[in-house]
Amino acid sequence: MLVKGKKNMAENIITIRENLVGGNKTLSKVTDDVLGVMERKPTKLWWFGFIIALTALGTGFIAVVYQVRTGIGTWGLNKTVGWAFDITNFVFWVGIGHAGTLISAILFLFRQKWRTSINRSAEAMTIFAVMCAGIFPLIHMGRPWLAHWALPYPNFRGPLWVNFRSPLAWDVFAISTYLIISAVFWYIGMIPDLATVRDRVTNKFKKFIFNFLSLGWDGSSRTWHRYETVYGLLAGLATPLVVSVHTIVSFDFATSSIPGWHTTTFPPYFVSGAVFSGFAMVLTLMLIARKTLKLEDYITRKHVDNMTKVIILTGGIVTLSYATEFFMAWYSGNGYEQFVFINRALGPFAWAYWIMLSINLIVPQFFWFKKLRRNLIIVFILSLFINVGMWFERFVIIVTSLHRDFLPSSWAMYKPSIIEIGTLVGSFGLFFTLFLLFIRFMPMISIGEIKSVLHYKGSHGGKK
Amino acid sequence: MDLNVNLDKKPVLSENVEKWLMGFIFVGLVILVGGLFLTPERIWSNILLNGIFLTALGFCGIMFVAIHYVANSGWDVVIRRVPEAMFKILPFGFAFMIAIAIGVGYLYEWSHPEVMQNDLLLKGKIAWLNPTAFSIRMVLYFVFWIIVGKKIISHSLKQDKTGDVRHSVLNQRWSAFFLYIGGIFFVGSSFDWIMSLEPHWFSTIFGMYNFSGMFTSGLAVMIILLVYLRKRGIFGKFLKDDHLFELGRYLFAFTTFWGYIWFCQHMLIWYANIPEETVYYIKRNIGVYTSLMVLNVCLNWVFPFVILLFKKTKRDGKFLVIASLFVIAGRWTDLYLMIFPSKYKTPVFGVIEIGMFLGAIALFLLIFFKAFSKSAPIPKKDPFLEESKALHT
Repeated sequence: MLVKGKKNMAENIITIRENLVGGNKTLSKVTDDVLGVMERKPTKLWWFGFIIALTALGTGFIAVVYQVRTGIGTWGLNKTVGWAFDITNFVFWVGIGHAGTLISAILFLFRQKWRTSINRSAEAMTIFAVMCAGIFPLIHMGRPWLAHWALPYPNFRGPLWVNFRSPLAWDVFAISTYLIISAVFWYIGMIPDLATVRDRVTNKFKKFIFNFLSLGWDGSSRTWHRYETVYGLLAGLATPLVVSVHTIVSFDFATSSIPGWHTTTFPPYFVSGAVFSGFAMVLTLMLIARKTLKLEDYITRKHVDNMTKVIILTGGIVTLSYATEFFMAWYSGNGYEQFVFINRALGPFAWAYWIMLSINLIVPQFFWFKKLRRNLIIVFILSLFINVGMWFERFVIIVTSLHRDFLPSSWAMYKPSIIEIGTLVGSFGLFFTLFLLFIRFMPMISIGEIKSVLHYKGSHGGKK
Repeated sequence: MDLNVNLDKKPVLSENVEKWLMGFIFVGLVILVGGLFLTPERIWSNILLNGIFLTALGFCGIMFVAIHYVANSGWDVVIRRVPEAMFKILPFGFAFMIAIAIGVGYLYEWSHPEVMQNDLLLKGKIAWLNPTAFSIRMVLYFVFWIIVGKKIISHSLKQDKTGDVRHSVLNQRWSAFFLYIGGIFFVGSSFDWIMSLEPHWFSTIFGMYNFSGMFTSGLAVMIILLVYLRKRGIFGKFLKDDHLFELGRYLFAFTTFWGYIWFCQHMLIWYANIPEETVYYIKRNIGVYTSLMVLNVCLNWVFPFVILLFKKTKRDGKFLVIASLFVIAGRWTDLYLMIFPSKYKTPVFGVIEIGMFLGAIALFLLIFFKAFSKSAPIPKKDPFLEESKALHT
């Protein structure tokens, strides 16, 4: 990569810019490669994964039915620790849901062309993750069939009305808006590709479905023009939403006066934590998809490299936030605040704290080295670690702040019940089931966009 | 493309303008020295304000350069010499802040041992809040920023001669190093220099809050300088509306980011309503300060947001300059609101504030133009120059 001496400028560019698609593809080869995944019969590996995911989903289903019938007394909560596993999972999944729209909207506005290979599946991941997140507060309501009460609409329930002062009500709006916009964004982005599928399938039923879904796309330049305008506008709208969702999730904690929860840095800290964990999950999924679907030419080492760099940045912000919180607890001179942080590090949940800290602080540091960034097996393992570390972060924040009350006689411990663990397993089941169905039935790489970056390397004013 | 611009040294300040700038600096100095005898506390507050303002401009300059190296970005090459020259004000910011370290007693309650000993809360903070530690940290921050910043710029300048792409690659590494450590130091400096003016009060987001203000003001200054230099024909055809558009988008995004951080801090403190924290905003919600609070949000976010919402205005130098002027005024107001209410129950404003701020700006411009005219106005052998010239938005 290092080139010494005087060189032609255009040649120099080529040494720094890497191509985004490998293997000298032609335009039609791209279509064949991407749609081939859908047109072929699913591999054994796919079936294997799908059955595991379905089993997990089934487990979760049983757990949910049981707890809805019996009540949330089946959880390990007590009067001191009233939020624990469910909210941890909720925040975890919302966090995972961040990377998708960040990649598709914010990187789009930044004109980061490398997003084209991964944006579609990252967006799908976002939608599925937000769906998984939604399950937990829904069940926590105890009477999920009355969930619509969380929406403000004219009703006959007398003075019963949504409490707009509660950040939990803001959550309802933030997350449902995010889900809707992300889904619309994902779908709109898919229309040109759906039309390509429509033109290729021979099966009448499939033709009908894709004909319907592609909304009469004709590929004319006028259609493309309108499409691009809408896409840009949606990207602009989705960008503040990406930030707002986790900001409002952080408000659930930070607006309270509970030590360890109330701190002003929570909003940006949560957002970067969410991007951190979201990118780790994208890496996990993309590295699996790349290998099993043979998409090595599309999801290249360059993409992985870029994503790990985002992880260094967001992981750094997360670590800085840990440090700031710890420092400020001491600096504030507030005994309760100091107690919470010492208790986190040395108390009964210290094991969770040290898992969180060691993973989230140390793992991103490996990505400073190019050799490690480009070693996909290592990246895959590290991405799994980050997923675990970020789950523990939420667990630590939620449980350790609650389990030591202001009143020592209320001090309690928390242990998840088998039902709660079953629900978590179920949410993973739902996530992977939906994702596996998605890569089977929809074009998982944006064909239209990837074609525009086929000759990326030489398209910057340099020689081709 | 022919290089239809003189890429070699070019003086960009006429002697007349230089005289005016010197005049402003002189007036600022006179006010400073005279004021030190009459109202020392007010002068020290102003030195702090302007010191932080200038430091932020220098920091923003080098941070802007570093971000684009790290991101492997190409579009910014044409304009890079401007933030590089902005960096040159950082040592002067250092000088201002050294002065603060010397006059620490006028500004910071915690610099008096007897106060610290008799206050239960402050007693616990002695390890952090004492003049020695304060000065050591300050020197550490500046030495790191200046040394690493110089390294990055020297590579960029060397590339002008050799055209070796290795400089870009090395700078990428230096820039990552700078951003990671320098960013942490910036957060630390905000806690040290501003937050500790009210040593009882604390807010974990404060570093990021000051960071957003630093970035917006730096961008605003960069935009004004670019529009001016372009008018003078310094960049020839190299600098296009497209480059301004990118900067306009930056300014739009980061003024909104400022608004976001401002809201987070204010809302969370207001909502939780804990006396140790609300005290900060209570001081700033009395009398004239209340209107300044409103003005602050308008200047830093509402006005630039409305102006820059449109594609046309983000490409138009005139609108960009107007928005930038609001942002610079907003930065001053923001710093004023961070510093002055800790000393004055009602706002003080007059010749001292105006004179010293104008003096600081004149100093910045003088240093900037001197630095800018020393090297070629664009990095003529950067490997991404072609890409930057070809920028089309």
